[in-house]
Amino acid sequence: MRRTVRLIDARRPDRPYLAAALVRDFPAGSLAAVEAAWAAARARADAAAGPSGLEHGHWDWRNKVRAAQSGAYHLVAVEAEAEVQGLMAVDRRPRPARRKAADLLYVDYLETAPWNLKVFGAPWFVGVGTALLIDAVRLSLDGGLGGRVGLHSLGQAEPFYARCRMAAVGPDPGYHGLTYFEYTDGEAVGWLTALGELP
Amino acid sequence: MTSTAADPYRVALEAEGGEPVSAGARAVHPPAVVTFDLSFVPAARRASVVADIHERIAREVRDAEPVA
Repeated sequence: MRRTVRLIDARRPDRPYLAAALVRDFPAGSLAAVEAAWAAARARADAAAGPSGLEHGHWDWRNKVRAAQSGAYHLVAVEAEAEVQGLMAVDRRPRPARRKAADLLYVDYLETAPWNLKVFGAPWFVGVGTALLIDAVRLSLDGGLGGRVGLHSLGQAEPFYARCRMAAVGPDPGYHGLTYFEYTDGEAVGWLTALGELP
Repeated sequence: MTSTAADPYRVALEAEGGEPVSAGARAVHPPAVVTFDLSFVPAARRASVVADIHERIAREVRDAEPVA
């Protein structure tokens, strides 16, 4: 399934909207090509990010191929100008929410293309992570999970998820100490409604 | 610059602003070092035992789904 989403073209001074394609069921067989396109730029971004580097600087989407091919993940991509601008792997199995006795949709991995990071000075396209997170909520709604979504954020990304109105449940000792974020009861629907993404 | 006053979607996108948005596994997985006491194993069998351990670890690594 493909649908059009809007990003901001930050290469232009007037920062216009740019029509991008959000692709559900992105093929696992294309992950190697994505990694080939991203790896060198990610390494440069990691080096440019200073002494601490990028927390996800070591990521390699080729490591996800087997799980994706087995059907464990639902892959979602944002494409613009014939390049993948962001990728999200969603667990197909609902997981229990932490703040409510109900299931939610769990985002296993989410990353934007390295050239969309400001570490190089100016990102190309702004809003890829937002577009992917909005679609995670839509997938949850489509799956009867009420918009509930959970994920573990890397430390550098925590402000982003907080701004997107996800609740920080706290560091998870069972998952490398990463902070677990959750949309539980209505926050996600309220966020999408505020953005004009839901009637 | 395009006005953002009446466009909350644009405000949300601009707030992302090129910051990392990565969710998933942590950057560094510290290597685990395990010491085996093979003193009780007859000397002639130690090499074989070590090979078995190596093979078992290699199989676990091969079959495991990487977390990052």
